[in-house]
Amino acid sequence: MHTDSPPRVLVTKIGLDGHDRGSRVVATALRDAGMEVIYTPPWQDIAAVVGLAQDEDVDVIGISSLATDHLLVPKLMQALKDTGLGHIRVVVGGIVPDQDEQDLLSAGVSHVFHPGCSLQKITEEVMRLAHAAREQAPSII
Amino acid sequence: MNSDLLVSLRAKDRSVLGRAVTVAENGGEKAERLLEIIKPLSKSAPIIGFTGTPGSGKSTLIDALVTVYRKRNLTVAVLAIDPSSPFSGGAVLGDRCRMNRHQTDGGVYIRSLSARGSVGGLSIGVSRVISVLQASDFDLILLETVGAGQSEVDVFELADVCVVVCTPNSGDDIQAIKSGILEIADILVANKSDLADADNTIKQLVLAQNLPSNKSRHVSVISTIATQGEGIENLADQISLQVEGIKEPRGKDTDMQTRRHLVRAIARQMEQNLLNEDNPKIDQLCASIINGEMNTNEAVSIWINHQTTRKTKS
Ligand SMILES: Nc1nc2c(ncn2[C@@H]2O[C@H](COP(=O)(O)OP(=O)(O)O)[C@@H](O)[C@H]2O)c(=O)[nH]1
Ligand SMILES: [Mg+2]
Repeated sequence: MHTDSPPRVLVTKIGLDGHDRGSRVVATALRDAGMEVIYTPPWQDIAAVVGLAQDEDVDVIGISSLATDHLLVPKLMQALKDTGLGHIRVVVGGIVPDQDEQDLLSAGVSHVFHPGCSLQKITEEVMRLAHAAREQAPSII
Repeated sequence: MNSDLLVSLRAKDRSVLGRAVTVAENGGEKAERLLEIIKPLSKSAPIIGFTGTPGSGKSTLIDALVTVYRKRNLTVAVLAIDPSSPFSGGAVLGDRCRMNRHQTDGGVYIRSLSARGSVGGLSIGVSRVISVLQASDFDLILLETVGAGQSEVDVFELADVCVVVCTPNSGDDIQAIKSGILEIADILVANKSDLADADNTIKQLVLAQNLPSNKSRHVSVISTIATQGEGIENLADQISLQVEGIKEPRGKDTDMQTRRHLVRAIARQMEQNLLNEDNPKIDQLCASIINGEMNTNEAVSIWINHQTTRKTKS
Protein backbone atom coordinates (compact mmCIF):
# COMPACT_ATOMS: atom_id res chain seq x y z
CA MET A 1 0.00 0.00 0.00
CA HIS A 2 2.85 2.36 0.91
CA THR A 3 4.46 2.15 -2.52
CA ASP A 4 1.08 2.86 -4.10
CA SER A 5 0.54 6.15 -2.32
CA PRO A 6 1.15 9.21 -4.51
CA PRO A 7 4.70 10.61 -4.68
CA ARG A 8 5.15 13.73 -2.57
CA VAL A 9 7.04 16.62 -4.10
CA LEU A 10 8.10 19.91 -2.54
CA VAL A 11 8.10 22.74 -5.09
CA THR A 12 9.87 25.78 -3.75
CA LYS A 13 12.22 28.66 -4.35
CA ILE A 14 15.28 29.68 -2.39
CA GLY A 15 17.25 32.91 -2.53
CA LEU A 16 16.01 36.32 -3.54
CA ASP A 17 14.20 35.78 -6.82
CA GLY A 18 10.41 35.98 -6.41
CA HIS A 19 9.14 34.94 -9.84
CA ASP A 20 6.98 31.93 -9.26
CA ARG A 21 4.88 31.57 -12.38
CA GLY A 22 7.09 28.77 -13.71
CA SER A 23 6.92 26.79 -10.51
CA ARG A 24 3.14 27.12 -10.41
CA VAL A 25 2.86 25.64 -13.89
CA VAL A 26 5.13 22.76 -12.93
CA ALA A 27 3.23 22.19 -9.67
CA THR A 28 -0.03 21.88 -11.60
CA ALA A 29 1.52 19.48 -14.11
CA LEU A 30 2.84 17.27 -11.30
CA ARG A 31 -0.60 17.26 -9.72
CA ASP A 32 -2.16 16.27 -13.02
CA ALA A 33 0.30 13.39 -13.18
CA GLY A 34 -1.10 12.16 -9.85
CA MET A 35 1.48 13.55 -7.44
CA GLU A 36 0.96 15.42 -4.16
CA VAL A 37 2.70 18.76 -4.45
CA ILE A 38 3.53 20.85 -1.43
CA TYR A 39 3.76 24.40 -2.65
CA THR A 40 5.49 27.19 -0.73
CA PRO A 41 6.06 30.90 -1.15
CA PRO A 42 9.42 32.02 -2.63
CA TRP A 43 12.38 33.21 -0.58
CA GLN A 44 12.81 30.12 1.57
CA ASP A 45 16.16 29.72 3.27
CA ILE A 46 18.03 26.43 3.40
CA ALA A 47 16.95 25.58 6.96
CA ALA A 48 13.31 26.19 6.04
CA VAL A 49 13.51 23.87 3.01
CA VAL A 50 15.09 21.11 5.10
CA GLY A 51 12.34 21.54 7.72
CA LEU A 52 9.65 21.43 5.06
CA ALA A 53 11.13 18.27 3.57
CA GLN A 54 11.12 16.62 7.00
CA ASP A 55 7.64 17.72 8.03
CA GLU A 56 6.07 16.74 4.75
CA ASP A 57 8.15 13.58 4.22
CA VAL A 58 8.71 14.37 0.55
CA ASP A 59 10.40 12.17 -2.02
CA VAL A 60 11.57 14.93 -4.36
CA ILE A 61 12.42 18.62 -3.95
CA GLY A 62 12.05 20.83 -7.02
CA ILE A 63 13.89 24.15 -6.86
CA SER A 64 12.97 26.76 -9.41
CA SER A 65 15.72 29.25 -10.18
CA LEU A 66 15.57 32.06 -12.69
CA ALA A 67 18.37 34.23 -11.32
CA THR A 68 21.41 32.97 -9.44
CA ASP A 69 19.52 31.11 -6.73
CA HIS A 70 20.74 27.76 -7.97
CA LEU A 71 24.19 28.63 -6.60
CA LEU A 72 22.72 27.94 -3.13
CA VAL A 73 21.65 24.42 -4.05
CA PRO A 74 24.97 22.69 -3.16
CA LYS A 75 24.50 24.09 0.36
CA LEU A 76 21.02 22.57 0.42
CA MET A 77 22.40 19.21 -0.72
CA GLN A 78 24.89 19.26 2.15
CA ALA A 79 22.21 20.26 4.67
CA LEU A 80 19.93 17.42 3.52
CA LYS A 81 22.75 14.89 3.92
CA ASP A 82 23.61 16.25 7.38
CA THR A 83 19.97 15.83 8.43
CA GLY A 84 19.76 12.25 7.26
CA LEU A 85 17.66 13.11 4.22
CA GLY A 86 20.16 11.90 1.63
CA HIS A 87 17.49 9.75 -0.03
CA ILE A 88 15.48 12.77 -1.17
CA ARG A 89 16.08 13.57 -4.84
CA VAL A 90 16.61 17.21 -5.79
CA VAL A 91 15.91 18.69 -9.20
CA VAL A 92 16.48 22.26 -10.38
CA GLY A 93 14.47 23.97 -13.08
CA GLY A 94 15.04 27.32 -14.75
CA ILE A 95 17.95 29.26 -16.10
CA VAL A 96 21.19 27.48 -15.21
CA PRO A 97 24.39 28.08 -17.24
CA ASP A 98 26.20 24.94 -18.47
CA GLN A 99 29.23 25.29 -16.20
CA ASP A 100 26.98 25.69 -13.15
CA GLU A 101 24.97 22.64 -14.16
CA GLN A 102 28.08 20.49 -13.86
CA ASP A 103 28.66 21.82 -10.34
CA LEU A 104 25.07 21.09 -9.36
CA LEU A 105 25.21 17.54 -10.68
CA SER A 106 28.45 16.84 -8.86
CA ALA A 107 26.90 18.24 -5.68
CA GLY A 108 24.27 15.49 -5.98
CA VAL A 109 21.43 17.19 -7.85
CA SER A 110 19.58 14.54 -9.88
CA HIS A 111 18.52 16.61 -12.83
CA VAL A 112 18.54 20.15 -14.22
CA PHE A 113 15.58 21.14 -16.42
CA HIS A 114 16.21 23.96 -18.89
CA PRO A 115 13.69 26.37 -20.39
CA GLY A 116 11.75 24.69 -23.17
CA CYS A 117 11.87 21.29 -21.50
CA SER A 118 8.43 19.70 -21.92
CA LEU A 119 6.17 19.30 -18.91
CA GLN A 120 5.81 15.65 -19.82
CA LYS A 121 9.55 15.10 -19.59
CA ILE A 122 9.60 16.84 -16.21
CA THR A 123 6.73 14.83 -14.74
CA GLU A 124 8.15 11.54 -16.02
CA GLU A 125 11.56 12.27 -14.55
CA VAL A 126 10.16 13.44 -11.20
CA MET A 127 7.95 10.35 -10.99
CA ARG A 128 10.95 8.09 -11.63
CA LEU A 129 13.08 9.92 -9.05
CA ALA A 130 10.28 9.79 -6.47
CA HIS A 131 10.10 6.02 -6.74
CA ALA A 132 13.87 5.75 -6.46
CA ALA A 133 13.86 7.96 -3.36
CA ARG A 134 11.17 5.90 -1.72
CA GLU A 135 13.17 2.70 -2.23
CA GLN A 136 16.00 4.28 -0.25
CA ALA A 137 14.05 6.09 2.45
CA PRO A 138 14.96 4.85 5.92
CA SER A 139 12.17 2.84 7.49
CA ILE A 140 10.94 3.75 10.96
CA ILE A 141 9.06 0.53 11.50
CA MET B 1 14.09 -0.02 17.85
CA ASN B 2 10.52 0.48 19.01
CA SER B 3 11.66 2.35 22.08
CA ASP B 4 13.87 4.55 19.85
CA LEU B 5 10.80 5.34 17.81
CA LEU B 6 8.85 6.31 20.90
CA VAL B 7 11.66 8.51 22.20
CA SER B 8 12.08 10.22 18.83
CA LEU B 9 8.38 10.90 18.52
CA ARG B 10 8.20 12.19 22.07
CA ALA B 11 11.09 14.54 21.27
CA LYS B 12 9.25 15.72 18.15
CA ASP B 13 12.11 14.58 15.89
CA ARG B 14 10.92 16.09 12.63
CA SER B 15 12.15 13.36 10.27
CA VAL B 16 10.71 10.54 12.35
CA LEU B 17 7.47 12.40 12.90
CA GLY B 18 7.16 13.14 9.17
CA ARG B 19 7.68 9.49 8.26
CA ALA B 20 5.37 8.23 10.98
CA VAL B 21 2.61 10.47 9.65
CA THR B 22 3.12 9.01 6.17
CA VAL B 23 2.89 5.46 7.49
CA ALA B 24 -0.26 6.30 9.44
CA GLU B 25 -1.82 8.11 6.50
CA ASN B 26 -1.17 5.28 4.06
CA GLY B 27 -2.77 2.67 6.29
CA GLY B 28 -2.39 -1.07 5.92
CA GLU B 29 -0.39 -3.46 8.02
CA LYS B 30 2.50 -1.06 8.71
CA ALA B 31 0.11 1.54 10.08
CA GLU B 32 -1.50 -1.05 12.36
CA ARG B 33 1.91 -1.97 13.73
CA LEU B 34 2.83 1.69 14.25
CA LEU B 35 -0.39 2.39 16.12
CA GLU B 36 0.19 -0.64 18.31
CA ILE B 37 3.69 0.62 19.21
CA ILE B 38 2.64 4.18 20.02
CA LYS B 39 -0.47 3.20 21.96
CA PRO B 40 1.16 3.52 25.40
CA LEU B 41 2.21 7.11 24.59
CA SER B 42 -1.05 8.47 23.43
CA LYS B 43 -2.27 11.43 25.37
CA SER B 44 -5.30 13.44 24.45
CA ALA B 45 -4.46 16.93 23.34
CA PRO B 46 -7.59 18.79 22.31
CA ILE B 47 -8.32 18.74 18.58
CA ILE B 48 -9.63 22.00 17.17
CA GLY B 49 -11.28 21.76 13.75
CA PHE B 50 -11.56 24.71 11.33
CA THR B 51 -13.85 24.65 8.36
CA GLY B 52 -15.30 27.21 5.95
CA THR B 53 -15.38 27.89 2.24
CA PRO B 54 -12.06 28.14 0.36
CA GLY B 55 -10.65 31.64 0.77
CA SER B 56 -12.50 32.39 4.00
CA GLY B 57 -9.15 32.68 5.75
CA LYS B 58 -8.79 29.37 7.62
CA SER B 59 -5.06 29.02 6.98
CA THR B 60 -4.37 32.67 7.81
CA LEU B 61 -6.41 32.32 10.99
CA ILE B 62 -4.56 29.18 12.04
CA ASP B 63 -1.25 30.91 11.37
CA ALA B 64 -2.25 33.78 13.64
CA LEU B 65 -3.54 31.39 16.32
CA VAL B 66 -0.30 29.43 16.29
CA THR B 67 1.55 32.69 17.03
CA VAL B 68 -0.72 33.28 20.02
CA TYR B 69 -0.33 29.72 21.29
CA ARG B 70 3.44 29.88 20.97
CA LYS B 71 3.43 33.07 23.05
CA ARG B 72 1.55 31.05 25.65
CA ASN B 73 4.27 28.39 25.47
CA LEU B 74 2.04 25.73 23.96
CA THR B 75 3.26 23.38 21.23
CA VAL B 76 0.99 22.98 18.23
CA ALA B 77 0.50 20.51 15.41
CA VAL B 78 -1.46 21.57 12.33
CA LEU B 79 -3.04 19.21 9.79
CA ALA B 80 -4.14 21.03 6.66
CA ILE B 81 -6.32 18.92 4.41
CA ASP B 82 -6.89 19.95 0.80
CA PRO B 83 -9.06 18.27 -1.81
CA SER B 84 -7.42 16.13 -4.44
CA SER B 85 -7.98 16.34 -8.16
CA PRO B 86 -10.83 14.03 -9.13
CA PHE B 87 -9.04 13.35 -12.42
CA SER B 88 -5.51 12.41 -11.43
CA GLY B 89 -5.75 11.85 -7.68
CA GLY B 90 -2.90 14.35 -7.32
CA ALA B 91 -3.11 17.57 -5.34
CA VAL B 92 -1.46 20.95 -4.88
CA LEU B 93 -1.24 21.51 -1.14
CA GLY B 94 -0.72 25.22 -0.49
CA ASP B 95 -2.16 25.89 2.95
CA ARG B 96 1.20 26.20 4.57
CA CYS B 97 2.02 29.14 2.33
CA ARG B 98 0.12 31.17 4.92
CA MET B 99 1.94 29.56 7.83
CA ASN B 100 5.46 30.14 6.63
CA ARG B 101 6.71 32.10 9.62
CA HIS B 102 6.49 29.03 11.86
CA GLN B 103 8.62 26.93 9.55
CA THR B 104 11.75 26.80 11.70
CA ASP B 105 10.01 26.72 15.09
CA GLY B 106 10.60 23.32 16.75
CA GLY B 107 7.38 23.66 18.76
CA VAL B 108 5.21 23.70 15.64
CA TYR B 109 4.59 20.82 13.26
CA ILE B 110 2.62 21.49 10.08
CA ARG B 111 1.57 18.75 7.71
CA SER B 112 -0.38 19.00 4.44
CA LEU B 113 -2.67 16.10 3.64
CA SER B 114 -4.57 15.38 0.47
CA ALA B 115 -8.12 14.09 0.69
CA ARG B 116 -6.98 11.45 -1.83
CA GLY B 117 -10.41 11.25 -3.36
CA SER B 118 -11.54 8.95 -0.63
CA VAL B 119 -15.21 8.27 -0.09
CA GLY B 120 -15.79 8.08 3.63
CA GLY B 121 -12.28 6.78 4.28
CA LEU B 122 -10.59 10.14 4.81
CA SER B 123 -11.47 10.47 8.45
CA ILE B 124 -10.09 7.01 9.20
CA GLY B 125 -6.67 8.00 7.79
CA VAL B 126 -6.75 11.35 9.55
CA SER B 127 -7.60 9.78 12.88
CA ARG B 128 -4.57 7.50 12.52
CA VAL B 129 -2.40 10.56 11.82
CA ILE B 130 -3.86 12.24 14.89
CA SER B 131 -2.74 9.26 16.99
CA VAL B 132 0.83 9.89 15.84
CA LEU B 133 0.55 13.58 16.78
CA GLN B 134 -0.86 12.60 20.17
CA ALA B 135 2.13 10.33 20.71
CA SER B 136 4.39 13.26 19.86
CA ASP B 137 3.03 15.12 22.83
CA PHE B 138 1.71 18.30 21.23
CA ASP B 139 -0.41 20.49 23.47
CA LEU B 140 -2.92 21.27 20.73
CA ILE B 141 -3.87 19.81 17.37
CA LEU B 142 -5.43 22.09 14.76
CA LEU B 143 -7.25 20.61 11.79
CA GLU B 144 -8.06 22.59 8.62
CA THR B 145 -10.64 21.13 6.23
CA VAL B 146 -12.60 22.53 3.34
CA GLY B 147 -16.19 22.57 4.46
CA ALA B 148 -17.61 20.78 1.47
CA GLY B 149 -18.49 17.15 1.00
CA GLN B 150 -19.47 14.46 3.44
CA SER B 151 -15.95 13.14 3.98
CA GLU B 152 -14.84 16.56 5.18
CA VAL B 153 -17.77 16.83 7.55
CA ASP B 154 -16.72 13.45 8.90
CA VAL B 155 -13.19 14.72 9.47
CA PHE B 156 -14.54 17.80 11.13
CA GLU B 157 -16.33 15.56 13.57
CA LEU B 158 -13.01 14.21 14.79
CA ALA B 159 -12.52 17.61 16.42
CA ASP B 160 -13.32 18.29 20.06
CA VAL B 161 -14.01 21.93 19.30
CA CYS B 162 -15.41 22.92 15.91
CA VAL B 163 -14.75 26.40 14.51
CA VAL B 164 -16.66 27.51 11.40
CA VAL B 165 -15.10 30.44 9.53
CA CYS B 166 -17.43 32.80 7.64
CA THR B 167 -16.77 36.03 5.73
CA PRO B 168 -18.86 39.06 4.78
CA ASN B 169 -20.64 39.26 1.45
CA SER B 170 -19.97 35.70 0.54
CA GLY B 171 -23.27 34.19 1.55
CA ASP B 172 -21.22 32.10 3.97
CA ASP B 173 -23.59 32.89 6.78
CA ILE B 174 -26.54 31.61 4.76
CA GLN B 175 -24.48 28.65 3.57
CA ALA B 176 -23.56 27.78 7.12
CA ILE B 177 -27.20 27.87 8.17
CA LYS B 178 -28.36 25.80 5.24
CA SER B 179 -25.62 23.20 5.35
CA GLY B 180 -26.40 22.36 8.93
CA ILE B 181 -22.80 22.93 9.86
CA LEU B 182 -24.04 25.26 12.57
CA GLU B 183 -25.27 22.17 14.35
CA ILE B 184 -21.74 21.00 14.93
CA ALA B 185 -20.10 24.43 15.27
CA ASP B 186 -18.95 25.37 18.76
CA ILE B 187 -17.53 28.71 17.66
CA LEU B 188 -18.45 30.85 14.67
CA VAL B 189 -15.73 33.15 13.41
CA ALA B 190 -16.72 36.16 11.33
CA ASN B 191 -13.35 36.69 9.66
CA LYS B 192 -12.34 39.60 7.41
CA SER B 193 -14.20 42.05 9.64
CA ASP B 194 -12.14 44.77 7.99
CA LEU B 195 -14.36 44.39 4.92
CA ALA B 196 -17.56 46.33 4.35
CA ASP B 197 -20.76 44.68 5.55
CA ALA B 198 -18.95 42.73 8.25
CA ASP B 199 -21.40 43.92 10.92
CA ASN B 200 -24.25 42.43 8.96
CA THR B 201 -22.55 39.03 8.76
CA ILE B 202 -22.09 39.01 12.50
CA LYS B 203 -25.74 39.93 13.03
CA GLN B 204 -26.83 37.11 10.73
CA LEU B 205 -24.66 34.62 12.52
CA VAL B 206 -25.84 35.70 15.96
CA LEU B 207 -29.43 35.41 14.76
CA ALA B 208 -28.79 32.01 13.26
CA GLN B 209 -27.30 30.59 16.40
CA ASN B 210 -30.49 31.56 18.22
CA LEU B 211 -32.65 29.57 15.84
CA PRO B 212 -35.02 27.14 17.60
CA SER B 213 -33.18 24.18 16.08
CA ASN B 214 -30.09 25.38 17.86
CA LYS B 215 -31.68 26.22 21.22
CA SER B 216 -29.84 23.79 23.38
CA ARG B 217 -26.37 25.00 22.55
CA HIS B 218 -24.51 28.17 23.07
CA VAL B 219 -22.34 29.03 20.12
CA SER B 220 -20.16 32.11 20.42
CA VAL B 221 -19.64 34.42 17.49
CA ILE B 222 -16.21 36.06 17.29
CA SER B 223 -15.11 38.63 14.77
CA THR B 224 -11.51 38.55 13.56
CA ILE B 225 -9.12 40.09 11.07
CA ALA B 226 -6.77 37.17 10.58
CA THR B 227 -4.36 39.12 8.39
CA GLN B 228 -3.83 41.69 11.16
CA GLY B 229 -3.96 39.28 14.07
CA GLU B 230 -7.04 41.02 15.41
CA GLY B 231 -9.50 39.07 17.57
CA ILE B 232 -7.15 36.11 17.70
CA GLU B 233 -6.40 36.28 21.44
CA ASN B 234 -10.14 36.33 22.01
CA LEU B 235 -10.59 33.32 19.74
CA ALA B 236 -7.83 31.45 21.58
CA ASP B 237 -9.58 32.19 24.89
CA GLN B 238 -12.93 30.99 23.57
CA ILE B 239 -11.31 27.80 22.33
CA SER B 240 -9.78 27.25 25.78
CA LEU B 241 -13.19 27.74 27.40
CA GLN B 242 -14.72 25.17 25.06
CA VAL B 243 -11.86 22.77 25.74
CA GLU B 244 -12.50 23.17 29.46
CA GLY B 245 -16.16 22.48 28.75
CA ILE B 246 -15.31 19.11 27.22
CA LYS B 247 -14.00 17.98 30.58
CA GLU B 248 -17.14 19.00 32.43
CA PRO B 249 -19.85 16.44 33.14
CA ARG B 250 -21.82 15.81 29.99
CA GLY B 251 -25.28 17.27 29.68
CA LYS B 252 -28.18 16.15 27.59
CA ASP B 253 -26.92 18.00 24.58
CA THR B 254 -23.53 16.35 24.53
CA ASP B 255 -25.28 13.01 24.95
CA MET B 256 -27.02 13.74 21.69
CA GLN B 257 -23.72 14.75 20.16
CA THR B 258 -22.04 11.57 21.35
CA ARG B 259 -24.92 9.57 19.94
CA ARG B 260 -24.60 11.32 16.61
CA HIS B 261 -20.83 10.77 16.53
CA LEU B 262 -21.24 7.11 17.36
CA VAL B 263 -23.95 6.48 14.81
CA ARG B 264 -21.97 8.22 12.07
CA ALA B 265 -18.85 6.27 12.98
CA ILE B 266 -20.79 3.01 12.80
CA ALA B 267 -22.25 4.06 9.44
CA ARG B 268 -18.78 4.85 8.11
CA GLN B 269 -17.40 1.52 9.21
CA MET B 270 -20.35 -0.37 7.74
CA GLU B 271 -19.93 1.54 4.50
CA GLN B 272 -16.29 0.45 4.29
CA ASN B 273 -17.20 -3.15 5.10
CA LEU B 274 -19.99 -3.33 2.55
CA LEU B 275 -17.82 -1.73 -0.11
CA ASN B 276 -14.88 -4.05 0.45
CA GLU B 277 -16.25 -7.45 1.45
CA ASP B 278 -17.85 -10.05 -0.80
CA ASN B 279 -21.55 -9.90 -0.21
CA PRO B 280 -23.86 -11.89 -2.50
CA LYS B 281 -26.98 -9.97 -1.42
CA ILE B 282 -25.39 -6.63 -2.32
CA ASP B 283 -24.17 -8.06 -5.63
CA GLN B 284 -27.69 -9.30 -6.35
CA LEU B 285 -29.25 -5.90 -5.54
CA CYS B 286 -26.67 -4.09 -7.69
CA ALA B 287 -27.48 -6.39 -10.59
CA SER B 288 -31.20 -5.68 -10.22
CA ILE B 289 -30.57 -1.91 -10.22
CA ILE B 290 -28.35 -2.15 -13.28
CA ASN B 291 -30.96 -4.28 -15.07
CA GLY B 292 -33.58 -1.67 -14.31
CA GLU B 293 -35.67 -4.05 -12.19
CA MET B 294 -35.66 -1.67 -9.22
CA ASN B 295 -34.34 1.70 -8.14
CA THR B 296 -31.88 2.38 -5.33
CA ASN B 297 -34.58 3.21 -2.78
CA GLU B 298 -36.36 -0.07 -3.40
CA ALA B 299 -33.08 -1.90 -3.08
CA VAL B 300 -32.44 -0.18 0.27
CA SER B 301 -35.83 -1.37 1.61
CA ILE B 302 -35.15 -4.90 0.47
CA TRP B 303 -31.71 -4.78 2.10
CA ILE B 304 -33.10 -3.56 5.41
CA ASN B 305 -35.86 -6.20 5.38
CA HIS B 306 -33.25 -8.80 4.59
CA GLN B 307 -31.17 -7.69 7.60
CA THR B 308 -34.13 -7.74 10.02
CA THR B 309 -35.41 -11.14 8.94
CA ARG B 310 -31.89 -12.51 9.28
CA LYS B 311 -31.70 -11.14 12.80
CA THR B 312 -35.06 -12.56 13.92
CA LYS B 313 -34.13 -15.99 12.56
CA SER B 314 -30.93 -16.20 14.58
N1 LIG C 1 -9.15 41.50 4.15
C1 LIG C 1 -8.87 40.35 4.76
N2 LIG C 1 -8.33 39.33 4.07
C2 LIG C 1 -8.08 38.18 4.70
C3 LIG C 1 -8.34 38.00 6.09
N3 LIG C 1 -7.99 36.74 6.43
C4 LIG C 1 -7.52 36.14 5.31
N4 LIG C 1 -7.56 37.01 4.29
C5 LIG C 1 -7.12 36.74 2.88
O1 LIG C 1 -7.99 35.80 2.30
C6 LIG C 1 -7.29 34.99 1.36
C7 LIG C 1 -7.52 33.53 1.65
O2 LIG C 1 -6.95 33.18 2.88
P1 LIG C 1 -6.61 31.67 3.28
O3 LIG C 1 -6.13 31.71 4.69
O4 LIG C 1 -5.73 31.04 2.28
O5 LIG C 1 -8.06 31.01 3.21
P2 LIG C 1 -8.49 29.45 3.30
O6 LIG C 1 -8.68 28.97 1.91
O7 LIG C 1 -9.78 29.47 4.05
O8 LIG C 1 -7.40 28.73 4.04
C8 LIG C 1 -5.83 35.40 1.46
O9 LIG C 1 -5.53 36.27 0.41
C9 LIG C 1 -5.76 36.09 2.79
O10 LIG C 1 -4.73 37.06 2.86
C10 LIG C 1 -8.91 39.13 6.81
O11 LIG C 1 -9.18 39.06 8.01
N5 LIG C 1 -9.15 40.26 6.09
MG1 LIG D 1 -6.30 27.01 3.48
